Amino acid sequence: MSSVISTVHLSKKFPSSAAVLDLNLEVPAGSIFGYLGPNGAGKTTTIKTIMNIFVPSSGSATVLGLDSRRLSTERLQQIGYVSENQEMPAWMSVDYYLDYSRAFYPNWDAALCDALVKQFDLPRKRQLKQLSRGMRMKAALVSAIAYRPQLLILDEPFSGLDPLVRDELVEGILAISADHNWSVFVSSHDLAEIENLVTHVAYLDRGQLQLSEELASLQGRFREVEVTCEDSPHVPSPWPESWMKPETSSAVVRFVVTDYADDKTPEQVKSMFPACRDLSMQPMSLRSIFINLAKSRR
Amino acid sequence: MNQVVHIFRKDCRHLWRIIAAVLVLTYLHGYAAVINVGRGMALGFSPAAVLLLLAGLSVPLLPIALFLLVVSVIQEESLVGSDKFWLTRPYSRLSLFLEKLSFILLWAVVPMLLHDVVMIRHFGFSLSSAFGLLVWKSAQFDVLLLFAAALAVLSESFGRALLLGIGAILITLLSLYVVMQNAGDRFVGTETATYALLALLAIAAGGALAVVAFQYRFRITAVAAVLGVAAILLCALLARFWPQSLTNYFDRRNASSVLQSVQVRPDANLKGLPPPRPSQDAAAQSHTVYYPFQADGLSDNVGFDLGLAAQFESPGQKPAPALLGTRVRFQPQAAGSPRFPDDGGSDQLVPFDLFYAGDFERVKNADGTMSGTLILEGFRTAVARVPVPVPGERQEFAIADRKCTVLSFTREHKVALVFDCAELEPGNTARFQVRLLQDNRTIMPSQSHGDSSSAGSWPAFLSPIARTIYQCEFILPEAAEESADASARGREILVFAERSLGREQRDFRIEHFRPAEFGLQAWEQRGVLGAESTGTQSNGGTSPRSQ
Repeated sequence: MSSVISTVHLSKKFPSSAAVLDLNLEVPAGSIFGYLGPNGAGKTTTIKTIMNIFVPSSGSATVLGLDSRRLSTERLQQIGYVSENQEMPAWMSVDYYLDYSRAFYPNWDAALCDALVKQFDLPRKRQLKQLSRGMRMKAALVSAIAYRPQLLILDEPFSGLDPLVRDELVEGILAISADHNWSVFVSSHDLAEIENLVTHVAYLDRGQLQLSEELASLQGRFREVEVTCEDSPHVPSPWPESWMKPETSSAVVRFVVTDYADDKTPEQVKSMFPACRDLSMQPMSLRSIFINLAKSRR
Repeated sequence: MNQVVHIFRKDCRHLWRIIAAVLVLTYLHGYAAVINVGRGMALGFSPAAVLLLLAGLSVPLLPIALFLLVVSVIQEESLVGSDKFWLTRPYSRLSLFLEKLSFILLWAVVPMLLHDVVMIRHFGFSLSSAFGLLVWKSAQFDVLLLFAAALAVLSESFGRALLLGIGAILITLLSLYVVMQNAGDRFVGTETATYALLALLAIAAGGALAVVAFQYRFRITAVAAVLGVAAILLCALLARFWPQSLTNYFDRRNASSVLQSVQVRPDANLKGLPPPRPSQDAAAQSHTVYYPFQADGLSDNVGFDLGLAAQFESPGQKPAPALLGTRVRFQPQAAGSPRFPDDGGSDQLVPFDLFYAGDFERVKNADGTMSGTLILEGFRTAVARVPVPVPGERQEFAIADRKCTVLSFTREHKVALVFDCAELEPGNTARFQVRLLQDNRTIMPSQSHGDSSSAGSWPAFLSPIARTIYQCEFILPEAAEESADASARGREILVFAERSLGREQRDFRIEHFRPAEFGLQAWEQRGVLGAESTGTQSNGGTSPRSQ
């Protein structure tokens, strides 16, 4: 199986709006897949459709090789799910919650569960409703990974958490996925918080997929270019389509190249600005890439 | 199966307070029924008084607790909303459904069944005789729980389920109001009302079951809600268009074979008939006409009250509708022992009250035909002969499936008797009348008459037992004894009760019906009427039969 999640022309429409439109997505097995986009982009709707909580309006989603509409209990035993919005049984203590969850999973690993509880410093006897938001998310995460799922789906897991807790969770997920070669599908609207976590990214805006690729590839082909000239620079025409719209100020031109290649792009820039002396091409953070992408589409 | 047990244990652990409340309230409800809370209860501040108060409160609180239990357990894994914990866990929907079913069976249905069994045994009835009742009552109870379940699967919280329930009740009441506006009196006072209600309940239960099953299978709340509303509308439509043929079918099916063999025919040659009861409406008397009827085939202890719908037709005249003028009761002649509380016989003068006052003047000299339908409301009487108890002591006896106790109180020349009867629900006895006997002769009927009727008390929501209290008083002749206490000693009472035998219809037709010649005086002059009744019965000295 090359993809753990695959959607084909997936759409989900509500009476008042269309949340997801014609989504074609492939999540490779073994990847940590960042599903990114601003609030209201349709990330949670996509996940709920994948999890068979919503029925697709059209198209289809396949999870672990099975149509999402036919997700069986056996298949759900292979999927871990944590969401910021999930209503947990607040009256349960941490211990009872984990004990209750355990019975649904034949492959529950009690030793891993204990180790995670210790690692996250969860108070076993305290009720979930008495825990802080961060602690609740940790408890949810433990209950979602203690059975070693093939696929872990995290819907905005770090939203509203303080940086310390967030880092703990990220480290926990990284450690586990590295040890067990799981696939992780994580959605977030905050790019910085998952930049160090993901191996692949997809970007969704207003229900439509803008891009989906491996993070290294994405970061490899995006460069922030700064050209310094003697005089006020003249923006040449025609401007390459793969270069984002330039910004000029006095003697400096800045723009983003989306198809950077070591052996080609510097020469191409020099040829476009022959009168200019300094050329800088900087790798971009994920956050910068998506901000530029978002701006370019407005 | 493991999943069912696992979720069940979780629900018990979380909802144990509500479970405990339901169990305690069920016990108190049974206790309240046994002690008959609310009747002449003196409350002081004591543990017993608190228990009595709680028992009384259990009557309104138990339905609330049951509703809370059903809604809470279903909403533990709510079917509404997309953020519920269980939706992303490997729950089997079938296991979840079975678990909820098991939970409700164990903590609501079984306790109520035990409650019923204990009550039935407490009041001295056998379980074998009450088996049908237990099944029937359990079905009623389950339907009500099903309604609660339907509300629970359509809502996310108890408050919303409550609001939804209020909404459903309002829609139902509104539908019934619209229906009753147009349905006239077709359901009033007939067995049909019960069957119509049963049919409506069956549809409502089917609708509720469809809502629950649909939600557990597909979890599409809007569609499930539409199913529920459709069931309510279907009920309203059925009530509005209830087929008359069904009414007739049920009447025929319900009528006892004893009643079916009865023949009623008009016969102008009958003699010695008892005078008819005087009409309450003196004005109606002036346009009431009579005709003698004879009933054949009445067996012991069986009688019927007559109803009719008729019309008088004559050439050149508009038909004149007629109804029964006053109550007419047919029963076998009471030869020997008293079997009926009232006077009567198998031959009776039947009063036809022309519906419109002007019709009598219009048709009185015509020679026409009176035809229509006779409605026979059959009954069987039961009689018990009981010693008047010593004041302060209870006397127990059984009559017509009732277990009764009677207490006597005396003051001056009055003897008051208080009967406390229990019978299996749905109640089936109608009138309950008492006569005082001395030396095997009836010396007087009770001064106060009443229908201590349990019929019509269907449906009993939470109790399998109908308790009825009946009081009567005898005023003894002052000269007879020194005191009522002394006079009551050694005397007996005759207690009569009636049970319905259903309803039958007979068509009739009387040719050459001449209203002007069929007034009461005219029949008197023909010698049709016999001596007037005294209002008491003779007793030939044989013991009455008890049933």
